[in-house]
Amino acid sequence: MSKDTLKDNVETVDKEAEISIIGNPNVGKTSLFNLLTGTKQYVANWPGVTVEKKIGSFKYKGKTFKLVDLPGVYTLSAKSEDERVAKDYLISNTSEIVIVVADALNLESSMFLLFQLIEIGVKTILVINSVDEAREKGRIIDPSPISKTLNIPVILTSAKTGEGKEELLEEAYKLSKEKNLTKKKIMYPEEIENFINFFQDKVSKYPKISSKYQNYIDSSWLPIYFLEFGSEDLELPQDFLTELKENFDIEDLKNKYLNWKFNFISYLVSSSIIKEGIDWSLRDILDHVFTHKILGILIYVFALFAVFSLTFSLAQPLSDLLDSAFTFLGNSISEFVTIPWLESLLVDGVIAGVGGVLVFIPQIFILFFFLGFLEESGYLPRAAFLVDRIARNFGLSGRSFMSIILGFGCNVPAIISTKTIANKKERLALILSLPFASCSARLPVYILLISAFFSTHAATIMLLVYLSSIALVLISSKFLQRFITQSEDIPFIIELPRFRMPTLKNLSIYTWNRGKHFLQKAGGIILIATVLIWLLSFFPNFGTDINSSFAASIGRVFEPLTNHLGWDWRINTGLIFGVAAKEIVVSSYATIFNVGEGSLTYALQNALTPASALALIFFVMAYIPCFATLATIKAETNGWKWAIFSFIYTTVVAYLIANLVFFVGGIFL
Amino acid sequence: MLIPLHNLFIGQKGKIVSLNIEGESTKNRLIAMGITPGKFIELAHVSPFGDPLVFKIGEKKVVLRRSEASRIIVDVPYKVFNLLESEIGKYEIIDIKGGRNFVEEMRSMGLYKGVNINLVNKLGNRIIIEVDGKKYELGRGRASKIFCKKVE
Repeated sequence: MSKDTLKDNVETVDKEAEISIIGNPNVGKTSLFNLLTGTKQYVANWPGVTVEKKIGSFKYKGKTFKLVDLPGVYTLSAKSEDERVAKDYLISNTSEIVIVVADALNLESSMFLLFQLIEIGVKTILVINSVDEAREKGRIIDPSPISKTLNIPVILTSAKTGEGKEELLEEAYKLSKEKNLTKKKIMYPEEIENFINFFQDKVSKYPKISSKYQNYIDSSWLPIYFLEFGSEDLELPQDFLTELKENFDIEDLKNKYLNWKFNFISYLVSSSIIKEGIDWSLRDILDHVFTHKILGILIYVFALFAVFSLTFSLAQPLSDLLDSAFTFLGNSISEFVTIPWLESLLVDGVIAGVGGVLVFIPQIFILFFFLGFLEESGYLPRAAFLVDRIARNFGLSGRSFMSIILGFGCNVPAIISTKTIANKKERLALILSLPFASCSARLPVYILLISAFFSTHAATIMLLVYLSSIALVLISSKFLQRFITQSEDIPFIIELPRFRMPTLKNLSIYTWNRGKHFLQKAGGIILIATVLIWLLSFFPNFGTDINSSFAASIGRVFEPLTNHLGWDWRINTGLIFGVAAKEIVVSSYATIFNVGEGSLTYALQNALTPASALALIFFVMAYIPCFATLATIKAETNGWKWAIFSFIYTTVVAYLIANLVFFVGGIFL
Repeated sequence: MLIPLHNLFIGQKGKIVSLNIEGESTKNRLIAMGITPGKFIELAHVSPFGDPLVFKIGEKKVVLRRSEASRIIVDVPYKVFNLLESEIGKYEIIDIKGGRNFVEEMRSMGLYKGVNINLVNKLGNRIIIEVDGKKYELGRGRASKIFCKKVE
């Protein structure tokens, strides 16, 4: 035997086993995932779709397991993106073992998913999670009836206390060693068995189906899937369908199947629950308060306010610290680098540009920490419930309001926070409308212009800007859903999960997983963009005079479009720089007008009329999202298409608004 | 008696009879969430703006909009009338919804669960009822908080 074969043998024995984990939303799937993998995990996107996949790994008895977290779903049909991803993944057979997570206090609803997995024929483990909570409520569960009837391992766990972890690992290990496991078979009533047999008999005559589903030709998965969800995404040939319809009353059979399944599941579950326990009292009282007409709304407003103000008050000192650190870094570099263009590239381009965006890191991480708290504790769906009616007028659901409020802090986390919106159409419209939420980076521009032109009506103008910004987000999402974003409209059906106290560990993992996207994906694009802008302002005269740089020339190109608004090339060039990040508008005006920021007020008063200043304020409110936001849009929509759309769309809208404001403002000012 | 789900009053239970939902995916989602024929479902909370609604089903609380709830048919032992919307006739009070003060005040008038009342007249915003031979006048707000069933 050669060395190589020997090595091969060793590798087969210790081959990494892939386990996937699936369950309804809110069953504690993520906590279990965290429990098994600890920090050995990363987030990726499924190819071609925006659904996230979390991958982690753990070792047990020297064997490495790869754990894939599938999206939280109720069924495995192909209707929603999450369900389709999970279904396709599971039938593609890459996962050896599937862990189905069920909630001890809500066992029944997970059984539908479990049945579908047994049909697919993978090695399945049922994990009944949160047994500690169930025990507190007085519920006692005996896993053996389910285990014996379905012939699968059933394990009681608590992701919170770690109970059952060893047992689960042992069971997974045992299953991974077993080869050629006999496929589990569910015994259906005769009528359904007849249908399954007929289906399987005929299928072999249609090579198209048998090649597409070659792994499932002998299993009952295909006929059962057909009964449950119809033929739409199975792509069965028309003559095959006709043959089925001639021999069976499909609609009637479907009802019989569903009835059988409900009865079977409730029988199975009730035989496993030895004692019911009471779950409602405290939860009901809390829900009564949280959904109350007056109290509920007060708590909602308070929660939004608290998240918003805590985020910014806690983050500000850290941001300032980072800001000084970047300034210090810039200064140190200028001392060492003596080549003027390189110094300018590093200090004015890379460090100023990338640093200007990186100072948002504290905001983003702190925000996700609080948002994670609201989500994991179970408050977020209740908040969505409260305001759903209002949001619906604009084609949104209650969940969207939270994202809009976040947008006033920074558009980047706001856009990332739309991940939990199930309706794809709503989500896309919201992502593209969120840049109109006036983020905090635009505030310095407003303050500069308002103090220069409208100091007597400062508060009024500020209020007007913010109200217009909210109105614009809402109207835009309504408009986009009507004309641009097209996909199936899913009704708003959500579950109110039980209240839970989030653990610090889960919150940290949540915060890190979401926050690091900002670092990874936005980082590269911002770097390229800031270097590009630096090139435009540095050349062709090597930084001696910004007024004759390429950037200034571009500003002049736009003059025909902006002259009637009273904006000359200097204003335009500042706006172009502002595309990188809105704060840059102010500092670039200081550079272009060649004055300190203190005397910028006078310079602007000479350059603009009140009406053109007002138009400029509203233009800044609406125009092109910053590079970090564009990068986020690209990441969240999985492609450049919508980022480019957003670039053009916001500019057109901003230009129209600026013209409108200039015209109306001209009458009053 | 069969009524659409959104016509339950808070705290009332009904047995699900059918789901007349058109979209296959929505229907399957509801079924997978446990909203299946034969099960009991209870209206638990109503949003401050009247829509959506929270229903309790088994160990679950599910949020549905009125539009979806109206297509789910439930069986209740009897139709519940809101006194405000009731016609003239005899009724039995099955629940009074409101704060403690309101419930106490109604009790002092002899209005509580299980009492038979006679709705004698409706005059615009005033609803005249007779309890134990005494006549009372209720405004719209108060009447809307009293739920009753018809006495044949």
